[in-house]
Amino acid sequence: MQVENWSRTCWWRESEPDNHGTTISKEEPALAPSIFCGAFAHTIMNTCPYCAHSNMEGIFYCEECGQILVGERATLATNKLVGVTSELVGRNTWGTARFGRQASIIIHIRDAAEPLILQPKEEMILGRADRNSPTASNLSLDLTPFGAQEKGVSRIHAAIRRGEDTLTLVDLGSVNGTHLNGQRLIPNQPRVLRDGDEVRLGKLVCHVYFKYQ
Amino acid sequence: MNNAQDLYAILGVSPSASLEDIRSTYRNLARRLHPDSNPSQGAAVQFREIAAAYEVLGDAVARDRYDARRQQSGPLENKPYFTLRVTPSKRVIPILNEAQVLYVLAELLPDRSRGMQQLESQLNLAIVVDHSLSMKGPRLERVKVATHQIIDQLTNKDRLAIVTFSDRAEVLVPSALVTDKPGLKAKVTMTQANGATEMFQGLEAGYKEVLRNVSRNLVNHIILITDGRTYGDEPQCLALADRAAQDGIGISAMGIGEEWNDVFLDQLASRTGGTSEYINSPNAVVRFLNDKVRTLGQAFAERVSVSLAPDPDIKIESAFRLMPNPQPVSLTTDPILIGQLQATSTASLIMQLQIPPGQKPGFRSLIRINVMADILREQMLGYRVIADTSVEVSAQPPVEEPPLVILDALGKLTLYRMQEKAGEALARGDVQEATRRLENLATRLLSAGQEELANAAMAEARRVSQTNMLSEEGHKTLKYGTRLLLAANANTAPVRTSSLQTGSISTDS
Repeated sequence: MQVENWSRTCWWRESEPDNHGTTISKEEPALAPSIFCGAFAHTIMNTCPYCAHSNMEGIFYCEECGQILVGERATLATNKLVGVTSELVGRNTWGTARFGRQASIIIHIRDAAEPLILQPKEEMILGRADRNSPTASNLSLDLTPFGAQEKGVSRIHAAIRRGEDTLTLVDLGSVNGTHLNGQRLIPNQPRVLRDGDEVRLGKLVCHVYFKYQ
Repeated sequence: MNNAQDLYAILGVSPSASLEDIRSTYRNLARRLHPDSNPSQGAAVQFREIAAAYEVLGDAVARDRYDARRQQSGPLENKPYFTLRVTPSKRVIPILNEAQVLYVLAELLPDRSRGMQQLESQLNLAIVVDHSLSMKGPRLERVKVATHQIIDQLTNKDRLAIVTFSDRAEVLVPSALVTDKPGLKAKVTMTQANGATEMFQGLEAGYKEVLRNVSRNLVNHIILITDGRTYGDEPQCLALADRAAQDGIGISAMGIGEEWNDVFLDQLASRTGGTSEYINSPNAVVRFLNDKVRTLGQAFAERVSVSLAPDPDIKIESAFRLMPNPQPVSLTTDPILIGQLQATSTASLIMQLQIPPGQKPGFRSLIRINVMADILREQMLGYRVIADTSVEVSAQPPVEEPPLVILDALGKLTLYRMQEKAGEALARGDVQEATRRLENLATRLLSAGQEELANAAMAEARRVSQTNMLSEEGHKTLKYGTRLLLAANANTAPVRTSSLQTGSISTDS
């Protein structure tokens, strides 16, 4: 009897001391129905949907923030926004984290007449330009014209960073905080940005949408 | 027949296997386990065993002689004392250009049908008590009360020694059968608090006492109770722990208050398969000690050791003992000592393996796990159970729901790890990262329904960002609090930070 050590039968091992064929299994593993998810499946597994940290394949909980990466609970429940009536509602890309090379973002600031369309570079700093402050030149987006001062936006408030194919939002230690879909961000802890997300800097509310070519 | 000697089981072949089969099985195993190709400690340990088995079974004459002896000793025990169940986190792994992680859970499940729950094992116990000045007052008082209760609990078949130490050690009660209970209690009552803390003396005295009556049919154990740090003799204590382990003596440590060195006591315990616990208030001492002694008496297997031999290309990143008494496991020695097996509980170990890129499709072996234990009342010494686990490798693995038991264990382990990483970041001086990790931990704890621990984590996060330091109490609360979570069931009631005082794991709200 040829005993193969690495035959398919080693699965549930009810090992008995006098079970001489250590490769004889008690039951065939029942395979889950095969679902072909393609490359995207691996993307979901590896990149944390919460903080965009890149984890090794097979890891169940993000090494950076502890978010669960597998199973049903892995999909993040975003707080659905109530009362958004623009034509951007119902887009079938709502909630997507995918942000390709050619894409741009549309920032819809509440009460503003026109949305802003931008192509973010590696890092886009949001804040309030101050005449007296020398850091004004670092700002990618100056929110002063939108009432930043009254709404408690810090000079250097938050950043939108570009990953391989995701965007992340990071609070840079602002005084009044940054909220993503109602949840307050931990300073310096990046969170994945999705199409249709609500971002609040201090009291300044805006929505971020992705635009593809 | 004593299973330890069943060479067929060790090689993993049938007693009726042909010489060719035995030879090729041995070759396959040797390829995986030979120290020249496999750097892991476990491989060296297991290779020696299979080589010795092959020396007999691979030689026709020696094998015949062995077979004859084997026949004489009668039929083999059919029902195992415990089973070893190994569950990988995935049944099928993908082919990747980069390394990947696989978790393996090893569970030791006692055979319930043997009715071992009723059995009480005989103890050969030494209680080593710190009576340094800092123990003065309620601490020492409660230890005395607890010790009295333990004396009451023991029977005249148990042996007890009591050692007290501060700058010197005194054998208050030499190891002997517990017969004169009032006399023992009186001696304990007279102990005064004074002096500094020199643990090695106390530990050594306790070790010598237990050694006098050490036997593989008994539970040989030292319980160390201290509230402080020892000065300069930690390496000696650890060396002593190694000796104790070899002699089959376990050491468990109980730290009262905040001052004691948790890393050191953890090491002392883990080297011998004992446990380390944090008692944050003197009131809890009584409960802790009683529980500990009672548990020791309920062991049906002692000196349980686990040898892990991963295949040569696979690396064990880390291992953690989940149940009972969660504790990180040191991989520097093999086999890993995990202490006792109680009749009513499962023991389990979870490990994280790293699989290199470039796997070929088909099936491959992962790791050979070898568990040995002394079955106390059956004269079964060196009882052995071996499991050899494989996985399938495929270019398109099916999407699998991860095993719930692993998911749950890892979720809690993650919490423990996060507080560890916060500590490491702080040790490197990275205050920002430490704060961030503590805040993340607080978020995770809150969503796990652990409000009190979440508040503790938040408080530490604030403290760290303001003072660049963790508080001793906060650090211990988080460390042992997250550890305690691992011990409880899937639907865990919130851990009250005060429950660290009573040492109880509440299973109802």
